[in-house]
Amino acid sequence: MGDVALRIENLTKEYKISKGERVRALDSLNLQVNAGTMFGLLGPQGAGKSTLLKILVGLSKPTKGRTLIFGREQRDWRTRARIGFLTQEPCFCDFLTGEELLLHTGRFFGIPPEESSKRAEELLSLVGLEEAKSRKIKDYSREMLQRIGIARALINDPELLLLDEPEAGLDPRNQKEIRGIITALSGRGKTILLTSSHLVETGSICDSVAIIYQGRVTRRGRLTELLRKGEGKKVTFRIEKKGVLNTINASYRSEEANGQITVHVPHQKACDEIISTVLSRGGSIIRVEDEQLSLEEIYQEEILRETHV
Amino acid sequence: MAKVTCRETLRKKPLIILFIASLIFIGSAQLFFLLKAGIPLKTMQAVWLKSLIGFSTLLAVYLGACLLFAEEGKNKLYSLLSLPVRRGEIVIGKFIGGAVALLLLLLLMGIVFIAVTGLKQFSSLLIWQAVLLASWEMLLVFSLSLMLSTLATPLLNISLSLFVSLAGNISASLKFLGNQIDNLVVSFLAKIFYYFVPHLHRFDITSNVIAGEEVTFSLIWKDLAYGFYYMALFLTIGIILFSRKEL
Repeated sequence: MGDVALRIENLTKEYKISKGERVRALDSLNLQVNAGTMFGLLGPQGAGKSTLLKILVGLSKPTKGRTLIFGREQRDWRTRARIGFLTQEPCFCDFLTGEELLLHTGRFFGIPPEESSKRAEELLSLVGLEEAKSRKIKDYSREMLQRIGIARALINDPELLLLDEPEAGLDPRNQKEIRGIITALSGRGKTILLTSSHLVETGSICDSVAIIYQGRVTRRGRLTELLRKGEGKKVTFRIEKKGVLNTINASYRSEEANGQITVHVPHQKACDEIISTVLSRGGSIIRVEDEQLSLEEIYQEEILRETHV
Repeated sequence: MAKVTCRETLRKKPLIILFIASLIFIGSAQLFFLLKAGIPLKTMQAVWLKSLIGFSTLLAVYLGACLLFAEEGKNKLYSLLSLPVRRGEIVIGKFIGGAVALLLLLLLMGIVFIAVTGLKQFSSLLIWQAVLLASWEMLLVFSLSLMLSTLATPLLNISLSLFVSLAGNISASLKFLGNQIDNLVVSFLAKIFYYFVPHLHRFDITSNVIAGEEVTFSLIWKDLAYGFYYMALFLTIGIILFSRKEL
């Protein structure tokens, strides 16, 4: 459990978008995933999650920094033999059947046909596609594609499994089933790095998570630690000067009712700052309460704070 | 991968439509000649060869343009490139698979020709040599188009490949034009094209077929070696570009 499966050091990725203009998708990102754990990289669309996974599987090159997979530089193409990857919105040769796809993928890993066939059977059963194994992929539904994609990513029995938004585009029932499959894989001792914008649902199945926003990890840790950090405060006050309210609102989630304003803050320091601002502008504090933030709320607070920094 | 590419190629609808169009054209043209008495055998062969070169070029250009960056977008490529395989191997695999598929289509064009006109059309060595060189030209154009697909959109790729194919087929005239014309710019451009574009006219010996002039084996070997050199060059450039490409 203590071994490091994946180490990302100071990873930066910039894209040229037009003459001289560059956009930074990843910004000096540091991350570590321990072997045998399930790590959730959570963040909104465009946060840099897919870019990171693309770098990890060699689809894209970093501008700066390095990634080590089981202590080996990712740039070495042979490292990919130890990785299983499911891309967002998977797309395969649609004239192959599900079983053929797995056997075809097995060849790239040098797996003997008999062994490959045996593994394909097991995996099709794991992802619940035994019935559809002889059906052509072009006849698969979105959810079946996701399932066959997971099976394909597992054909080489990878030590590290990278799943890019495995639940994207699925209805809640299928999302739950896919999460069930991923949890079962984690139980088999696989190291899993999955990305998602479904904070609560995905976060709840991970051993640890990191929140990524604008290419930077804003928070990381075990889920329980993050939730502990989420012991926030709720400050309710009354104030006449609207200008002050705007600056507070810009940073934190707030609501207004019956002339009273309630602001939710993630920690004591922020709470003290608000109290000080309100009092200095002639306002009055009505009450201060403790508040347990959910992961979703922590995430929203982070995003709001990052947006207005 | 080559096997899957070959299967994938033979399922591409635009390619199949183009191929069927070529069969209809070849079959009907030959049928017309048969019904119209007095058309010499060599003329029929020449028309077939020209159709073969033209259609095979179109098939090769289209296939090269869409094989790496298919209509499904990049996701298919992501799945492939995440496997422990070098990008160069993917280019080579795609080339081999595509080449086998193209040769199969060419074979079918030959079968249709024989079915309409009979086996006697293939009685001379010259026609076999012409078919061999036409196949080689097709593979060369395919490698060019595959290389261009690593840096251009399919539409631009098709336009460029067709332009180079055309220029390559008239490259002998380009040199002549470059020497004769007074306009410096046109003369310069004609010379540039002459020296940088593969001389595809070397692979078209239709005039020899019409005139019944034998082509020596040494000349055939030279042409094959020339074509191989360009194929290797285009594929090498393609591999380098594809290996550096950000996806």
